[in-house]
Amino acid sequence: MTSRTGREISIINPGRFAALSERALPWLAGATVVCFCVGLYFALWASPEDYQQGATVRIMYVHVPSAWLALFTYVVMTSAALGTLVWRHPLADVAAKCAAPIGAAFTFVALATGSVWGKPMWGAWWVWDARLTSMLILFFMYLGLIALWRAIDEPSRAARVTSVIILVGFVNIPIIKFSVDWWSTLHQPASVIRFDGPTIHSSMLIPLLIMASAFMLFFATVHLAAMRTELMRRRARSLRLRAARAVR
Amino acid sequence: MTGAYAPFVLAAYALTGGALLTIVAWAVIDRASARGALERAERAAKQKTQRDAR
Repeated sequence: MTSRTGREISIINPGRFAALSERALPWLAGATVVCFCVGLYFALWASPEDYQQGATVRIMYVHVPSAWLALFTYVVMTSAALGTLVWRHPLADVAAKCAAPIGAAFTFVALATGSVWGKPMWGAWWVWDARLTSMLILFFMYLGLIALWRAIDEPSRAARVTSVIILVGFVNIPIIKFSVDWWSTLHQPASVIRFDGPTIHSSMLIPLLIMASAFMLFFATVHLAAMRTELMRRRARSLRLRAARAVR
Repeated sequence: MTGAYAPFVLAAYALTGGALLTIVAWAVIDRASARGALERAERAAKQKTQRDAR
């Protein structure tokens, strides 16, 4: 058991991660482009218009995947925060730090496209609805965490502080998910991720899932690339520190 | 795509495309800057080793 755990940890050590990610990145990037091409074809041309919402239903194919990824990114950051605090894994902090800007971008896209969809359907760009407000809080949490990482110079201290805040902030994730059930809101209830299965027709569900896969692959590609960059930056920092110590 | 709702749909896709391309640009620029920083640090470390050897 001990040796198995040891082998698992050695697979995800920074050196082996760099080698594995270098091989995986071109495949992931290629799959992302293919998935986006197929998804956009279905989303903009091959899928039907909604009988009530008309063409605006096509906004769903970018709005919903970006909202899912905004939440998923935070779940990744929470797992990484646990990895930092509990197992002190050297890659966990790197994973959390690199996910934050991507999560912020997805949250921004979900809020902005939701606003563009809300104007023709609700007659307002913005309402202080439970779902919208909790998503806005998530966006500010991402920005706050990015600012905190930049404010603390010492990486291990920054990792500990941000990990605690990430874990505390996780309380917002179930609030976002269930806000449409717990409160009376203008935002429609869940129609895909439900205990009793999706209520959306397959002609719209399939394009939505293809676009969601494209967003997920995009996240994996950019996140891996950003992690490789962060490892490079940390190596440069340790070389500089070693040189500075030697001068003293 | 035509109709009264077309501008809203196009605006949503333009916003999404813009945000995703910004993330890609950030990743590329950040990588170039990190590579530069690493090369400078490695050069400095190598020069120091050569000085020490002398």
